[in-house]
Amino acid sequence: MSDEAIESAISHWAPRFTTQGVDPNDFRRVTAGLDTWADWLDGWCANGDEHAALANEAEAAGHWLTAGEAWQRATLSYHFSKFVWVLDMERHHRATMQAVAARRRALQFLDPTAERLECQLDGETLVGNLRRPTSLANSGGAGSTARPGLVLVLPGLDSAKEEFHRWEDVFLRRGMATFSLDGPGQGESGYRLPLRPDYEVATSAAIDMLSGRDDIDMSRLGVAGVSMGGYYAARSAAFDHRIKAAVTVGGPYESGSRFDTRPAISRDAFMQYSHAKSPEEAREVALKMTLEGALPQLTQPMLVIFGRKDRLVPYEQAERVAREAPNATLVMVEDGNHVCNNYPYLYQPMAGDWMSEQLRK
Amino acid sequence: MSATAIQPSMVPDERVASATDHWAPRFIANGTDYADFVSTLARIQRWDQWCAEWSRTGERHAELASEAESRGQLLTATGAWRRAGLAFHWGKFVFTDDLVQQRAAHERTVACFAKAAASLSPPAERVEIPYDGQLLAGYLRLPAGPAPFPAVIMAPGLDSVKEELQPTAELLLDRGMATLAIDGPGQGEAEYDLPIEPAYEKVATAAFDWLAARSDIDIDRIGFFGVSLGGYYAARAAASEQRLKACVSLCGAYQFDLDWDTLPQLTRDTFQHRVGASSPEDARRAAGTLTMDGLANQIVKPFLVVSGGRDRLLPPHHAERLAREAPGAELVIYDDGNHGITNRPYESRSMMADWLADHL
Repeated sequence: MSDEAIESAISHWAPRFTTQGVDPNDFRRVTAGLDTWADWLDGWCANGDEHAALANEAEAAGHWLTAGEAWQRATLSYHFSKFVWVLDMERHHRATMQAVAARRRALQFLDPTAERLECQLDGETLVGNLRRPTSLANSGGAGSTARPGLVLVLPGLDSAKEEFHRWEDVFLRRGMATFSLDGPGQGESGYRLPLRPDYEVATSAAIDMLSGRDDIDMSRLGVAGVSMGGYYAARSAAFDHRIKAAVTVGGPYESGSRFDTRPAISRDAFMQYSHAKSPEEAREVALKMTLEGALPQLTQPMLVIFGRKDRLVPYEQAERVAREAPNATLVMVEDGNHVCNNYPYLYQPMAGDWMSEQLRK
Repeated sequence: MSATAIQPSMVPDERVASATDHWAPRFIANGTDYADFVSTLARIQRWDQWCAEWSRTGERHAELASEAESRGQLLTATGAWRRAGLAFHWGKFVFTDDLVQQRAAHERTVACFAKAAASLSPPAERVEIPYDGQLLAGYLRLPAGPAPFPAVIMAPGLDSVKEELQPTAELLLDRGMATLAIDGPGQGEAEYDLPIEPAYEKVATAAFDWLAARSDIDIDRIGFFGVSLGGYYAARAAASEQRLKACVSLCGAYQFDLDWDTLPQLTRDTFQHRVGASSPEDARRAAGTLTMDGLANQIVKPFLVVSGGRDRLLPPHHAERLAREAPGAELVIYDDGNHGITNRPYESRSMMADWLADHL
């Protein structure tokens, strides 16, 4: 019988895992074998190892596509092993680096022109992955010229750039390039820099770094964020007007009022990723995370997608975001859960098509 | 009776439970969204609701597709048409209780997928293959790169159709092979006019001849893939159509009546209907004529036989016997694999696709 934390993880996150590419059979097999939350990391890492073994076999046989796909499944399993699992930060770090390594290998086969890029913030290094569309087939869309527009893809509290292969594909297939960033408190950057309420400084650093490139059109720049990344995307667009459009899915207006009602594993993760020494300290950080006063400056077009049945963020917060941002459109998915991951075929094409239209030349 | 007793109507009936139990991983592996599966099943308590509720899900996706089309969002429309077609297919696939409803759902499968076909990547071209004075419908897809291409003829099983095979086809296309998925006798568009054909090699030959007439296909590199009852068809083709270079039989039958008594009722009913038998006894007799007895030993070409240790429809003894008798056979059994190995789709499908790429 599973303990409460496991039940919570399964019920909140099954649709998210499968939407991002975890095979539902794997999800069932791995979670069925776990007794306590403490086992979560090892269970998923073992699954990651199975996929890594398949990947190595495929490489040895010269089956490059099979190898790339297996590395991507390994990536997701390593990533999800630690996404809100913060019981042992050494193992957490090891799993993160396994996800990073597997992702590099996956991209080597699935998207060989992808680039790992770094930028500096407060003397520390932030890392992101740049991908470019392979064809510009979607004529008339954002990619109708040789230099594609770019979408900055921002993770949330517990995601990282490694999670986003499919989410990146939504934009890539519509002719836009993507840059998935591990910002403060996220993925491999998160060990060096704690999450911060003024995340826009990280986005701006990434934009500065990318601005010199001649293979992407930085005058057509968008930002997309899911969950807490929706908050980060809104902050980024409000404070950096090089960004021309923002889409958020499941993003909050603020974090402070929800701090004590979050699921325990999510609260623990918040404390860890903000490098807080105590729940009180973490609550202090959460209280500073608010869009109050920022949204009037977010005059660019903004699409706010939200699920009314979100159990992590009350839907009223999305209504408030859309009300206070001067140029925002709200799409409320009535049956949608957090990030509408129970309706991936609704929110993903909607976000992709909308962004494509905003970044059209 | 206590006040909290479960309402009888809330307990899914046996056939709903059986369909869910046997086929959930298949639906998802072939493109139905996980959450969509859960929400559709939540609306179904009785088997007689099955086709209507899946059709409702199909209509929802068709609406999304039309909306996207009207906004010029081609990629989104294509995905939605495809999901619509698939949902209608699940409504139809073993639903023989109401043939009017079943056929209406199937027609929507064909029509919705046809709307997606030209915009798929790579596109699917609807083709017609002359067979025994009739025409069999198929989808031809060509990989990227310079012609001529190796090609794989793909056969569905008892309850699948050419549209359902496309996710598997895409692994072959990604590896440089063209695909021709067909609705043969007893399958999809042909099932209304042609009953199940035990000597399916005739169909394989018709498809081969059709491919061989094309300048963009390399006639020396044509293979065959079949799943479930289609795995039996692949064995027939391997034994009798000598021009085929390599064949894959996934969870096929050695002889279709060997496990007759333990087959789900839905499967037996569907077989009876598609084979044109007038009674369960006739159906069972007909199932016995689908056999590799005396034929398996003629398979000398590379022949990959794949089975699942936990296949409850066609248990691995079928594959083991086939592989034992066929000199060219290579046997792969996934110990915890279900029927179709749809509980390990990534592993089994990439393995078969790589094998075909290596042998063609």
